[in-house]
Amino acid sequence: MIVVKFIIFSALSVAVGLLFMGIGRKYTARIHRRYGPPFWQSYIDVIKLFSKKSISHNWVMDFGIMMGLAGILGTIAFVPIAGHTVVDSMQGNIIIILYFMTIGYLGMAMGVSASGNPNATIGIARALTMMLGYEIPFVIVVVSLIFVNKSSLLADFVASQSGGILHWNIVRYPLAYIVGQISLQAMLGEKPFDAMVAPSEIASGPMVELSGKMMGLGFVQHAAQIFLETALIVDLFLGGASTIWVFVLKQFVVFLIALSFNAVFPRFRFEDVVKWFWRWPFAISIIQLLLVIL
Amino acid sequence: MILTSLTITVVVAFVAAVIGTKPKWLRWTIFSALLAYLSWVLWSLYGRWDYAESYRLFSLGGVKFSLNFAITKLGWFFAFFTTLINFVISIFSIRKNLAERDELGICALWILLAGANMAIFLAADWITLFIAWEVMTWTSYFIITPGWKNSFRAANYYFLLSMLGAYAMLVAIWWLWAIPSVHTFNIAQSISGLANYWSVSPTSVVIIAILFLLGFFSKSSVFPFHPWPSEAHAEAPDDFSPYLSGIMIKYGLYGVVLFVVPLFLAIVRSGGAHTINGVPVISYVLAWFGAITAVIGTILAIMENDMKRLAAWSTVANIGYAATAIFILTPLGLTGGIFHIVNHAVFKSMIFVALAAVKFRTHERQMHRLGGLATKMPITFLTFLLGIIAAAGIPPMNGYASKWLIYQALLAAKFPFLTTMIFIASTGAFMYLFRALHSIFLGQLPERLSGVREVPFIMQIPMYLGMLAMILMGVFPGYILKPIGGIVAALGLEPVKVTTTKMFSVLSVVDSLAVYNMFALSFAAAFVLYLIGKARRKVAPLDTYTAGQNPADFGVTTEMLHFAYKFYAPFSKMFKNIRLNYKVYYDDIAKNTQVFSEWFSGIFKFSTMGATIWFVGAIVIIIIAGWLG
Repeated sequence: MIVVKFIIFSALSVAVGLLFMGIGRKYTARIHRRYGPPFWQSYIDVIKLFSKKSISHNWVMDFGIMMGLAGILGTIAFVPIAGHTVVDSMQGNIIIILYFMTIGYLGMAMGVSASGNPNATIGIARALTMMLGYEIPFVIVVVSLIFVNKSSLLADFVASQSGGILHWNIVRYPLAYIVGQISLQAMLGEKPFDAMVAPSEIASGPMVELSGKMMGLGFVQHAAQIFLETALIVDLFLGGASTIWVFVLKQFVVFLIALSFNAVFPRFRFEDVVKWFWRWPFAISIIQLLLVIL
Repeated sequence: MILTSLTITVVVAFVAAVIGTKPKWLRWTIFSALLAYLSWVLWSLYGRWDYAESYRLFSLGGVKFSLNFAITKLGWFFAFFTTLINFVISIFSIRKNLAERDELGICALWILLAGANMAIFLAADWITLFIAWEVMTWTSYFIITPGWKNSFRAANYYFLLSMLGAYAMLVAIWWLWAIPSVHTFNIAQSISGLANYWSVSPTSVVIIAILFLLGFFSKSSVFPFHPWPSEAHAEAPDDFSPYLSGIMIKYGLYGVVLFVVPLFLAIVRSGGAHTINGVPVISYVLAWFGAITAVIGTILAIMENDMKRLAAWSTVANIGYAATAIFILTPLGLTGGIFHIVNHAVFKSMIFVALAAVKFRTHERQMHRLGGLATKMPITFLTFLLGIIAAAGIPPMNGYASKWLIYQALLAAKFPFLTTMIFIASTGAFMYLFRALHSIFLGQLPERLSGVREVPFIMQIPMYLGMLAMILMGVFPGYILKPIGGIVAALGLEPVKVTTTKMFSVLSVVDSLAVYNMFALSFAAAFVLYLIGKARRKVAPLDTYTAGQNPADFGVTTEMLHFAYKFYAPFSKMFKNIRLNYKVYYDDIAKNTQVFSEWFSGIFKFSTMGATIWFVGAIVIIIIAGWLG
């Protein structure tokens, strides 16, 4: 039973994530006054990549790429999506989710740096440094929500927001939502926080040495990651949803907000990202925390 | 039985020393066998909580000195796990020391140290504890510095801080004896006596607690004593570092759980203390010391380029987590803290064993001079990988269970800022752990290391055992948490509810087996996706994307393509104006002391005149004092 559910959720998350990526490309193109590819382009890309030849440098690279995808798919199993969770007994334990996610990051980092290309490793070093920047405000926000709800279960967070838009955390704790949305921008690696991929500086960073099937797995991982991270924001701030359609719609809105910023901003240097996050979102999150506990 | 095994230990140490320089393997095999025997003795003592031994030594001025041993739940737990882990590490030492020159003294002293380790945990009175503590200090000092120049300097930090702590403890022990209503060396009685003394003089109780804490904190390298591990753990013999970092640094926290925690709990129960969310103010301040230790250790680890020093800073950070949780004084906090101590002992000794294996083959410690060893040393790589996954607190390895409990403790006790500090340290841990993984095992293999092979099989045995332990302790935390529950119950608190695989807290429940199953399932799914599509082709390490240039044309070597030196340079720059490593201050103190002592000794050395003046001056002072007295 749990296996069937897991397969359904994984397939759903990848499909939705790829759809988001496709629509996102079109959306960004229109903001840039280009025509843009069709919205099903991402599906074509993945199928194409899996059918091409690929290279690998050693077994650690293969293992790392697999671990990257496994970490993200495994985390989705713990997140309540429209009232369903693959692992029901955990009810979306937020601390386990935050830590399980890092299996994916670690796997991807290990796989690409095993390739021996310095561009990939520079990208990872940047990503990890920025992670220290955006995780701290995000965690402070999560901690303040845990304080309000007296529970660290996402299921309880969602339950406490039921009953109309006025009960959503975005309305009750707007400052927390702002920090969450900004952190999401950095988690997704969208501009202005995309120093780790930076195509013009370090040749797309982590992706530089991926080809064919490996790149396809990386693509699938990114799609699942979009689904996972937007789902977290929806569960934390937008009250979850009762049906899967509404849930995906809310995720899409969250994703579009991130994309809109992505389309118009230039890139920050990554140490400036850390400093910026430790200044503004950190201050906002501390204010939110003080408002909650006082 | 305890004294018998300690006597056997001393005899074996003597035998190991007189065997001579030739049969090195025999000496270290005897060491392993002794540790196996000690583990068995401790295992057979499990459950005999009324077991005690007492030996009258002598009495001096009305004070009766005696050796007392007892099996308490806390002491047994620590004694058993430390001896067992020491046994696993010693298997590594058998092969590693075949090529060493100075191993004779190391082996004999380490055997004594293993005995002192057991005596510290099983001591029932302060005198026995202090004797064992001193034996532990000087044996470990000479193991860290078997006549090597760098390690001598490093060991002096360790030794001086330990001395400072030990003397503070000695003063506190005599103070306990001097208080009429306490007047005992027995540990349990002195706690209850001191707690009753709170109503008479809170100040002296706090000062006694602080004197003990000086001893415990300097041993466990809690802020502001945090610099010594990065010196001593790094310069110690490679096979001793796992023991030093995994086990010895925990004595201080053991002391905290042994003495300070029950004292604070008793004071809280008597209702005479100011509390914040149910935690006494002093304990809350001490929890902040732990949190600061965690953050400072993490940031210094991120800036470090030496792999053993990096691991040592990581140890400091982990001690910080455990200390913070323990000082929260709730069942969750104590369980999480003690569990983290055990988990850290396992994964950090495995990390250090993997580093020792790397150094055994490459003789390098600077991380940027290594690289690409994963394919050459796969078992060492896997050990290190599982170790860092555990250290980062990622499920399903053992580190996550205790970190989860620590978070639950801090959140349940409503300390948002402490939670944030621990989270900062924990996120920073990914940075330095990945950096070590990359710089040593991933990336490009330097040409001069192309002949490196995996370590011999005997050295791999501890790695297999360690990997197994890390996974099993993560999936079935209940087996370790049940004895910890006994310790918490012995402190008079309600133990945390656990089953073999599930942990319950006020805020949520976690099912380790479900987490592990999901891990396996998602891995299987990724593997299936990996099998789809065309087979991959293997290419040479140097055959990477270089924007169309041929690396050979520019004379690019593998070493140049290995991005490892100054890995987090922009990040380090952010902290360049903040002094986090207090080594500088300690060096200043050392320098000033030296200047002063040289001036002082100069008076005697070079001038008879000066010496005469001092001598006459001293005589005059004594005479005047005699008149006045």
